[in-house]
This record gives sequence, C-alpha cells and structure tokens, in this order.
Amino acid sequence: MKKAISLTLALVLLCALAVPAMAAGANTAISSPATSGVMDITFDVASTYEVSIPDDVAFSDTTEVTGNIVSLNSGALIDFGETLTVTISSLNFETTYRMKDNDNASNYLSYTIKKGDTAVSTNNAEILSVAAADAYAGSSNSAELKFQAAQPTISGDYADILTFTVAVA
Amino acid sequence: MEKHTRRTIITTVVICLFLFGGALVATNYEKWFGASPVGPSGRIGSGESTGTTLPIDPDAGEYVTTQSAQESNGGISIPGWAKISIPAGEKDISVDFPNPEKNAGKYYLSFELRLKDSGEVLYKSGLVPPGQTIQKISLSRTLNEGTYKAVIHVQPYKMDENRTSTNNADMETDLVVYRK
Repeated sequence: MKKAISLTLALVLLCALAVPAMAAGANTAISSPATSGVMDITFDVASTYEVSIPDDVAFSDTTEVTGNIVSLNSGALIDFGETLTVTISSLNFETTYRMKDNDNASNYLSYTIKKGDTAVSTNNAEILSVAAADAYAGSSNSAELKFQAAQPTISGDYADILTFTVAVA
Repeated sequence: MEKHTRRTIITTVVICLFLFGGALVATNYEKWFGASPVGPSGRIGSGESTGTTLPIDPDAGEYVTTQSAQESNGGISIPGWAKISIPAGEKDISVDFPNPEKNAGKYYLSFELRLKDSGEVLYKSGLVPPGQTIQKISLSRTLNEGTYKAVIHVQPYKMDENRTSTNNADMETDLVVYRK
C-alpha cells in the first residue's frame, strides 16, 4: 500500500515538472547545436495629433486683429517622412475672403488674412506645415494669423466661417 | 509770575497752532478747493480766473481697446488621426472621437465621418463635452475591405446659451477597412 502511494506521488511530481516545459509561448528553447534564438519585440505606435485653431474673430472696426494662433500641439505622432499641413478655406471666398451679410445674401464685406506678415490671398491656402521629425517636440509648430476687415460702406450683420483642413501625407 | 508764565505758554501754543494750520491749508489748498491759490501774476490770491475749475472726472482712465483690437486668446483643440482601422462588413465599430480636456468650459465638439471623394456621410455624432470621448459608433452602411480617403469634420460649439458654432476643422484620414 505504501509503495503504491509513493509511486503514485512520484508520478504526479514528474508530471508537474513537465508542465513548465509544455507552457505555450512562455520560452523558446535553444537546443544544441543551435547557439542562438530569436525574440520578437513590438510597439505599434498610432499616428495621432491635436491641432489648435482660433474660434472666431469679432470685428468692431477696421483695426487689424492679431494673435490668432494655429498650432500643432506637442506630443504629435506622425509617420516617418510625412508632413502635416493645415490649409484654410471659406465657402464665401471669391478672389478675396469675404463675410456675407446675414440679412442680404448679395452683400459681402471683404477681409484680409495674413500669416505673420505674408498675405494669404488664395482659398485653400497652406498656413502651417510640420515635418514628422519636428512634430513631437512641438517647436516651430505654429503660425499667427492676422485679420483685418475692409471699410464697410453698407451697414449689416456680416459673418464668415473658416474651415481648417488638416492632412498628413 | 506764574500767571505771566502761563499766559506766555498759552500764547505760544496758539501761535503754533495757527502756523501749523496755515501750512496745512497751503499744502492741501488745490486738493481741497481745486484751484491754485497763485494767480498768473504769481501773486497768491490774485483772484484772476485761470480757466475751468472742473475737477478731474473719476471715470476718466487709460484707453482700453475693444476685444477685436486686442490679441484674441485661447483656441480650440481638435484631435486628428492619420489612420482609422475598422473591420469590413460591420456597421457597429470601435473608434476614439475625443473632445480634449483643453476645451474644458469652452467648447463642445461634434464629429462627422464622411468619404472624401463622394462626400457620403457615414456617421454623425451629437455634442461631446470636454474630457469625454465617443468609442462606439454605428455606420450608415458597411464597407468592403480596402483603404478609403475620409474626412472627419469636427464642428466646435461654444458652451454658451445659444451653443454658437465657430470655425471648424476637416481632419483628413485614411479609413483602413480590414478583413477580420
């Protein structure tokens, strides 16, 4: 009886010792004559970013409005060799940027946009471009836009909406 | 003798009080009475008029430019994705459409996913408060395997009574539809 129990326990112990060797994927054995093995190390980094755009500009006169910043926030992750660009556009654009009179659809008031001191004179104009290598640190990732309304000659409630298009290519 | 001494002291004190009072009035004359006691001729109390006697208006101050002429501050934080991967043949998918914490107290965001070439709208959200995100959406239809040029139109709204819309952003992305 004692012998039977001892034998059974010995068999159980033997089986228990075999379990780690059969654990799937836990270790890779390097068996002679092989002298090296391989191990995969992976890190899938998704491309994500955050852009800041100005919310609105309210003119009360024809004084230039400054300090409207478009920026790529630090911590942006973009694929190697690619560039993030931001362009600006308006549905009311026709040779110039224009605000539409909310009470009279045929009446418009022009305004100008400058990126720094350079005039933005076309629709879908590029205002910011950041290479992947510069994106994460957040340095030189911004542009200042300046807006100025033309002198109105007709009173009205004028408005425009700008769309900032962000693309990575 | 004592009477004489007392009288002397009292006289001296009275003279000092008059002198002190006079000096006090002279140094504060303009503040109290709003005009210099010295006339154009340089004489004190000449009585000649030097112009208006209006006091400085308490509402007067340095010119304060209006909001439009000042540098505007703040901005709207808009998230972007170079690529979004979704399974083919399924309408209910997992995404991450967040409204960044930086917009706290200022802007709601809404998201509209559409195909760039056709403009077909696949999904449109409601308002997402700052610090929150949408992680499960239902597309208007399923998509076959492939890569599609897409645009996520992000529309911010001010957190005011009117939920006023502001400038918006079109975030271009690759919609990668994979076979499970």
